[in-house]
Amino acid sequence: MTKEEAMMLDAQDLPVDAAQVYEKVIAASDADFDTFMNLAVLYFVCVDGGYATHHGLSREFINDAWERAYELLDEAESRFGKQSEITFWRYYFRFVVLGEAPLIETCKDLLQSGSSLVPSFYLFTSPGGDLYRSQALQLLERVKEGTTAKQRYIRSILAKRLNVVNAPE
Amino acid sequence: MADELGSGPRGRVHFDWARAGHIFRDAPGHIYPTSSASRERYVRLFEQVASRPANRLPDAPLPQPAVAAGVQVYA
Repeated sequence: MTKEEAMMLDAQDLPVDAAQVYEKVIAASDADFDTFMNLAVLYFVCVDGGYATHHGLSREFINDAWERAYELLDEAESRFGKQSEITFWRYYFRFVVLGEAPLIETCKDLLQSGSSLVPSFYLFTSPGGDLYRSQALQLLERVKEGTTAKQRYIRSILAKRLNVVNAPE
Repeated sequence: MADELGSGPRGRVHFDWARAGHIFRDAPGHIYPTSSASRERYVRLFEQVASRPANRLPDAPLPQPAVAAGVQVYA
């Protein structure tokens, strides 16, 4: 099983199959940072009520997905060290799924101090987000042709923000 | 929908705009209004649906921590 096979299933929007292959890739010692993030975000997307219903995901899978998403973030940090993207997803998953408080200030710090542009998609869609338009557009450029759940998720949020801002009333 | 509308005793429920970016987008199980006016109409509809206790789905698939946090689903 390879990362490319997992990404192909991910691109076909087959979350259970893709997760199984990603897990096998990660079980091997040479899995890269992107593979960890792809699977963590895929699990997060699976926990979303609308997506889970659309795919008929079981309650057991959803519970496992939620737990596993955080295990993957922890495992990625132990393998690759502290990364702003890992910290961002830790907060963001809880913000969306558990209804925890907005994380605007945390994201500002992460975007300033870290190397990842990922927090910019959240900041750009928050109040005062125009300050982060440049970083968000750079991020959109990176994910616009992407096919993984993570890339699709980021793109869907950025594209919506840009469309609504430009839409006629 | 629901987790984005807040929980607690059902009175008039208010949409949480902080989570609008996640809710309104082009993705399976989500809604993708093409104008602000359309988005506002959906918000009013969501608030109406989530304000009626009879619309609650107690068996909706949620991870256990979300249930423990008081997240509820209405449809």
